[in-house]
Amino acid sequence: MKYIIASLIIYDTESGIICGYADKGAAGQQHLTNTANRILSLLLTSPGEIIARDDLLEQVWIAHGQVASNSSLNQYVSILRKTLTKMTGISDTIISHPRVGFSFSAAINVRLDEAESVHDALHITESEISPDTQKTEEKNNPSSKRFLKKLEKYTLPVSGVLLIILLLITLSQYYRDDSNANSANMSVWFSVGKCQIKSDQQTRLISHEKIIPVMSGLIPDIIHVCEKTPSQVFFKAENSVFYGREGRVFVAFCRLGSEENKLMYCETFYAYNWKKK
Amino acid sequence: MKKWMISPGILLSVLCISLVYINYKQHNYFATRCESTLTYHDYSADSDFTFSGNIILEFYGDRSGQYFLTGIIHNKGIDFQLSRAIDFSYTHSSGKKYSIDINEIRKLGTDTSPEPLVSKLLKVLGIAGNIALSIERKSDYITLWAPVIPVLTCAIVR
Repeated sequence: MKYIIASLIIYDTESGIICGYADKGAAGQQHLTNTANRILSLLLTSPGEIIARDDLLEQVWIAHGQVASNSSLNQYVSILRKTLTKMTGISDTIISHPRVGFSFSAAINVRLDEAESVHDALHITESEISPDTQKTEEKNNPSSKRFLKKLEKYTLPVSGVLLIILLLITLSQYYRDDSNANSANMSVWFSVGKCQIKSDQQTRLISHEKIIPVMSGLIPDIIHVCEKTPSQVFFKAENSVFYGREGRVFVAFCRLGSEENKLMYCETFYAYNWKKK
Repeated sequence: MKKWMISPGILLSVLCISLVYINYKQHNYFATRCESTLTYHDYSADSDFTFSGNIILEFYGDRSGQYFLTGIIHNKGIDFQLSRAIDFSYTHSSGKKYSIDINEIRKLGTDTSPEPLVSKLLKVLGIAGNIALSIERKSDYITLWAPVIPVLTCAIVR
């Protein structure tokens, strides 16, 4: 997050760098220490609002595993005041509220600037910074180093998790296909003569004896043909027809060729509201 | 810093999965031609609708296809000649499920069938009325399911 303070300086909470804004303010830049950076960024979250000492001690020191003391807080606030005054010329930037806490002066205009980076403000592009300068900046900027280390640390696990998620999505797609396949997939059930009877409704409830009359209802001479001709018969009927009620019946008689055991031609019989007589 | 932000591992994973997915999607569109005779009979008490004829079904790899229907539609004691070419496009939805959109129905040769009867037959075949069609595809035959009962099994001729 970047704050433009009094339209004179720009402060980057990520890097802790304060520098002149648009050729204004003092020349050069200041690197705040981590502690000073945390204090200033807290105060700038709500300029004019008092932040209690205890809250500052908690969030700046204790939350980071450091020992907190009021004298340290006073010392850092003093350093911050001097730095800000030096760069802006404004004396009362951070206001003390005795025995309560501190606030950033409401009289000073503070606004967010997400678009501009500190480097932009300095009119320096990344490519213009020499490698040496970059190294020095990284060295002087522990927060960016920490960020890089964190990124390095999490890259592999994140890649792994992403890969697993993507694989699961792909597998679920295939699994869904397989489950669909079961509902529209004929396989050999039993044989009659030289005919293989294929169906997807192979249950114990429907015996072979019940199927033959239904098939014969659509193809009267099927048993006779099956005695002579190597064929595949595809069969499907609504369960209602096995109990003497109306239903849809499908029978496809496909003759097998002599070579490669492949289907040569098919005759499809499809009946709607068919009922066993 | 940007070098670290784009993990080569993530990129490689995404690339591999994308290739598998694209290949899988492409696989769902195919070019084949199959043929069958069809005898359809509506045994409903108030109907004597039947169709008896030949069906040639062609799928093209570009997601389009054609039905060629020739035969006789019998309805209320009258026979009608049917000879139609139906251009359609097919879209894979999931698994074996496809939806078919009719682009054009053309009369070929002698065709005396009234449109409502043709529409009825197309509905039976699962190529009209927004029926999700399942296509069971094997090396030597295709079975069309509309959607839970097959309506046609045809032998692949090429």
